Amino acid sequence: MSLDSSNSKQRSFNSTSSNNQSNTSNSKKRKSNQKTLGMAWGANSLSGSRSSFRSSPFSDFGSYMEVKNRKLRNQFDAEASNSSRSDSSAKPIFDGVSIFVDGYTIPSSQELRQYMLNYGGRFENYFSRHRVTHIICSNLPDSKVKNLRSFSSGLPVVKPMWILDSVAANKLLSWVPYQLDQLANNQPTLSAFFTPKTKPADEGTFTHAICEVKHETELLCLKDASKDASFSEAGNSLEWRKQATEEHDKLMCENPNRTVIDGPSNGYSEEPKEVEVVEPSNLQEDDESLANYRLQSCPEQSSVSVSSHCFDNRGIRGSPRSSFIGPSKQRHSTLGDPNFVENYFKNSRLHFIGTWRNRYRNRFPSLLNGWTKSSHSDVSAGLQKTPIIHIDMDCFFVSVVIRSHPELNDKPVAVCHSDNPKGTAEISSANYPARKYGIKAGMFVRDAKGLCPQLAILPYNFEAYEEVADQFYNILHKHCNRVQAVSCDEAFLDVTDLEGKDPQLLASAIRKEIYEATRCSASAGIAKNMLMARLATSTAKPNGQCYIDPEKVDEYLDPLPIKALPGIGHVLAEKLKNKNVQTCGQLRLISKDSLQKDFGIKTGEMLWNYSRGVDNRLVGMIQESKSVGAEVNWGVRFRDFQHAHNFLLDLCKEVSLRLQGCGVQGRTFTLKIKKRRKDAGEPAKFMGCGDCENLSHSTTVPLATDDVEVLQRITKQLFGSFHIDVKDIRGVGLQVSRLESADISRQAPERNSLKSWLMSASASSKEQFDINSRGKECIGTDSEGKRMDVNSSLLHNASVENSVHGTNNASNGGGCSKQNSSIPPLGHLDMGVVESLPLELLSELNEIYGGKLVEMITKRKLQVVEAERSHNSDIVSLSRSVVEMKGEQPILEELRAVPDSGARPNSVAISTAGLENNDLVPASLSQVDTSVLQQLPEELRADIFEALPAHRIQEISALGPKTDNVHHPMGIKSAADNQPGSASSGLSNNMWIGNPPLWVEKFNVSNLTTLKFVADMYYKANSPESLSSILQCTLAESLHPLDATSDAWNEAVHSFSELLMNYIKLKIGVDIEEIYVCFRLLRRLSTKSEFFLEVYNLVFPHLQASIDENYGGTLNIPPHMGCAASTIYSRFELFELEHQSSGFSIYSAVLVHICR
Amino acid sequence: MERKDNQTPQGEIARILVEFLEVAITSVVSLKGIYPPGAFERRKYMNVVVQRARHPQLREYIHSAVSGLLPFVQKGLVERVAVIFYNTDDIPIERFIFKLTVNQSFGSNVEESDLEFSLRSFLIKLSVSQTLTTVLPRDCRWEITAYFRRLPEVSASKDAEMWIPTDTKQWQQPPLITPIKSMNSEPLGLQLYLEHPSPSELLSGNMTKFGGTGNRMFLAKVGDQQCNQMFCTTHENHLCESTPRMGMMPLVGSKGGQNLNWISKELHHLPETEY
Repeated sequence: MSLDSSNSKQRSFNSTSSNNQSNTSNSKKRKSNQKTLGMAWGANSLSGSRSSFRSSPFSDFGSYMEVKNRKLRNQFDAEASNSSRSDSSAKPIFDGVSIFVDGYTIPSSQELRQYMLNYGGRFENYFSRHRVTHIICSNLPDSKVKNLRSFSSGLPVVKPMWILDSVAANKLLSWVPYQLDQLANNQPTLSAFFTPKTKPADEGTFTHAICEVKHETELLCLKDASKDASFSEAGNSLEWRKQATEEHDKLMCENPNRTVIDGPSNGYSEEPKEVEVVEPSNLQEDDESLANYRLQSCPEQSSVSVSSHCFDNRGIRGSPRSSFIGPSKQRHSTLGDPNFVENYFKNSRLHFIGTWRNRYRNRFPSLLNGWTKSSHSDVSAGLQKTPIIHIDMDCFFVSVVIRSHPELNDKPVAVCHSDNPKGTAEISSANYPARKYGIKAGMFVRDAKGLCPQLAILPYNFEAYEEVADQFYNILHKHCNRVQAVSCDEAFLDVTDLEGKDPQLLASAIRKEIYEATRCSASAGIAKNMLMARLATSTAKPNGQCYIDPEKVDEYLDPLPIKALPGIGHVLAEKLKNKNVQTCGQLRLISKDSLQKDFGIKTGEMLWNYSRGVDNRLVGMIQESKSVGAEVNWGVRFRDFQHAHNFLLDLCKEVSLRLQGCGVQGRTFTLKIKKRRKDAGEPAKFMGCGDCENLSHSTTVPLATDDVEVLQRITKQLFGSFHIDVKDIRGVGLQVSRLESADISRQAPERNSLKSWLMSASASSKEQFDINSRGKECIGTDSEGKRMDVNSSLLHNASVENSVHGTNNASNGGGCSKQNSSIPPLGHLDMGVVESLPLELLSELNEIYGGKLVEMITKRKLQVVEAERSHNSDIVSLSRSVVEMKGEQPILEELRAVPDSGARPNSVAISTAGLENNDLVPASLSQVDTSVLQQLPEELRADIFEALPAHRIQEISALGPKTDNVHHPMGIKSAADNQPGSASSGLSNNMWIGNPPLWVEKFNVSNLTTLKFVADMYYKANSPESLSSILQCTLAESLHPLDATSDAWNEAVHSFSELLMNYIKLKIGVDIEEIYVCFRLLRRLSTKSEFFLEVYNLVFPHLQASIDENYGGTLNIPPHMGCAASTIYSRFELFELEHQSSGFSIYSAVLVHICR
Repeated sequence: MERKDNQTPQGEIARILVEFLEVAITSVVSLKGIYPPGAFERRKYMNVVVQRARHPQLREYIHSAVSGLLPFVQKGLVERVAVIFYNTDDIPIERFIFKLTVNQSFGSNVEESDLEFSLRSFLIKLSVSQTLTTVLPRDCRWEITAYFRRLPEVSASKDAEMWIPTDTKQWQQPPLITPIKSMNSEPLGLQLYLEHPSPSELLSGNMTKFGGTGNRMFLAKVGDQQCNQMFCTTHENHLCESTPRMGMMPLVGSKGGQNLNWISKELHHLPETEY
């Protein structure tokens, strides 16, 4: 402070000092934010801030930088000791100063380094907020200025002259006068844009206090500082501020001569009369003011102090807004910037466009109402010849900005937030020279720079946009009273009424006038309807106009690519392309019916109409917006819940402002959240949202509202229902729909009671806050504190009275029918909300409802208890049924023993997982192997092991490592002696007749060991009637290699194949499951034995043919499995097979387990 | 459920079968995860845990489709009942086939408990068959189609009206069959298996729509059994009106979103009953 005021004296009235002021006063706050600031600035900010974001990938690089910095410091120290020795005359004037040189400077950074060497300072090659004390640079682009601010921790950014002058003076001069000019003058100038959003007859001025205060600063800074002048300015500015909120309009510097009039409804007036240096003793009370408010203005001490006092007060209150003041505040994420929401929307072009309409509506309300209704009839009458002019400014966002840069006229220029050439900021608009390079809106800056390195990138200038848009519409409204605004730079004119004039001449006149007024060119299209006019404009661009004769519409449309039609996007165009439709001419060949069939009724009709140049829309039909909302999907990173919470509150404020700006209130609130996908890393776009899931919750309240507190309460509740880790949130949006006009509800007599029942808590506190904040604005100095206390306590009383009055109204009005109607029926109340209300509110509500509310809540609670009880009894009955089943299922006994509570959900999950894997799916089993068992709950696992005969398990595991190609030596007849093919052919499917089936006998008597072995298995198998069971046994029991010698080979193969084919024939019609299991077992056997491999290969085609014949498909036999997997697999299969026939399988046991 | 004592064994079998099919088809739909899990609730049927659709429309669709089959099952006309899942291009990607064989000449009475044991194993097996099935793409659609041994005479009964002859898309290549469960007890044979397009089918990517003569081609391929397809169009269309494609797309598309909320609200007050 003291430094600051001395400065301002030194340099007279200069806005720079206000910057310093805010810089220093906020530096503490910023420092506290440093740790979480995740912004990258070159390689410098690595160690601290970045690690909080992307710690691991950079840790190596970070340590490298550390070492490098240390080395550079050592070098510097060595050189410094040398130079100081050689140059003894040098005095260490820069002791304790450590500079960082950014960019090109005069003198060069090397020279500056030399100075630092010689005069005892330090020189840092890399920026570090811990070591650097001053940043030296001559010139910085805007984006860097913003970055510098975010990262310089309030370090001074100083011109190199400071060092030279200090050396010349041989002492360390104050750096303040050498502060970089850019930083000083860079006031944000958007504020005027935001004022129109304040609601008419605004009671809640406090919500705009920020804007107002800012205006004040700006105004005061802009004006010259002669005593009287500055005073009147101060007064005016305050006055203007109110008018701004009331009238929604006008740029800052207008209306300097308004007289001071206070609306009594506002409750106070400010009429500063004294011009004095601030001293407590000189305070003058202004008795005329209605509510004992006083304004302490202090023009002599320059406007700075006025604003800074305000700021100080805010700061003391701990208001998060305090940091808003500093023009240097430009934080890039929710992490660093407490006012992120506000700043975000301030810098958003989409927001500008989106809210522009409201501004327009407020500006030309009479024009809109005047003719829209009457126009309908006559327009439809003369539909055919209605001349429509469509006017569109040429690359509006660029050409407006470019006006102040005439040297860029023919150069490629784009508009974007940031011109960091490597940045991922998106280009929002590019001029025609730039478009020639292929630069388009939406491109990342780095890509655009890649296409066109000389591309100049300029920042937005919303103020200028507004000015130009206003001029644009003034001209349009001057020429024609039927104007439909499409956007800030685009409009339709209906010139039917202007019979005498040639629309073409009119269009050129308008264009000329626009150019003269704004120095920006516009293009125009003239045609019979809006569609054609718009298309004509696209032909006319840039800076031209085009007339499409009604008779030449078809001619124009024929070659037109369909994508040029409005309403046809990528998806639709792609679909049409698939139908070989690329131009309107082709589209016209398709009948309306088939278009409607393919694309839906509306879209089909639109396509049909548009391809014929038919457009029945009327100029002037402005669609009422169905929802109002705000969404932030960039820079959203939350530290903790509280942080997210604050953000939500700010978002609510914004939405509330927008609602008020549109003059509507809404009933349905939808909170949308973008949640980072689990595997998504940091997005390509810096601070972007990346790959996200979109979640949303919504709720509807009985009464429409735009109140910030209600919004916040609802939003809090919605947010709670997400149950989401705030760190995963990448975007938040709040949408309000089911809109009602605010005027109606406001005028309604029950307004008061509405408020008091819904927001009885908020109303009083709001008003109180309102008044308090007003009070604060008026306070000049700290010394005035006492008086202020008095004032505010007075106010406090007033507000309390107010609120008491309000509630009285509500409760007394119980008998009055009007007020009664505003109370929703008891059943409509959301009991969840009611229950969570604070006690006093609840009792208040309860009174309104005559005590029924409490009754209802108790009932509800009872119901909940009952529901829980019945739920429990469900469980009990289930477990009872388990007990009933126990008789047949011994296994259940053990399952029942599992404790009912506690680990239940866990065990369910585990056993389900187990079940899935348990199934006869080779594909999955081969992956699952041992983990299947491990996944099962312990008691289940124990059961399984019990169910499996222990010896069998051992055998199975013994089976694993066996090799395939060991032939079992056997003395057997030659193949010639035995012709198995002919011998067995007579068997046909009789082999399975009898008990035991014929084949068992046949195999038994044969002297082929393999067959004998299989026949043996028949007797060992659990259910010998099924081959699968026998094969299962074979697989389990075969301790020896099953391969026969070559002599008996063929015979054995044929016999076995015969058996299989018979079996297929037997089962194909009724049980392909059995066949399937058999062949999978065979397949596994074939990995162990060449005998089975050959059988398998022989029978497999037959099998598939049979299946195809019967089922029209082929059996899905899985690919070969490895030995290890098949071992585990066989365990389960065996297990499964055993149980599927013996009744209740393990699955049912598991399922019963689940349902407990 | 009471029934008349003078009913034929076939009628009794058909009744049991149809009831079973309703449960099994619901289980299939639930298994495929086409709807959010909240769209189903657990119920006990035949002493095993099964899924039941909570959404009235879904439940009604399945119920009316299979109960419309009752007279045909009773006459032994229905050969197969298929639950077919289509992708957005209306190409079938998975078919669950229930193949029925009802012995028409079976004389003695049938008790439900006799069949229960076997039918239960289907439900059990089905509930663990997820790994056998393919993963469905988003926005898929499904329908119930019945294949008949021969087309029934035009019947006057009202139930039959809901089923009308149709043709469905077929794969050109024979599909891959994965059996899930088979049973073959005396009066009733039932097999459940999966059909997936063969890999070569996926490569060629061509689908043929069989209709008219194509239908016969398809029949010839199946073999000597005469089978005609019937398709429950009435339901499909009806549902398309109110909730397109059975309301699957919004449901699948917005898991956890508003639609789901709506459903769970809607279904919250359904009575808790046994199937």
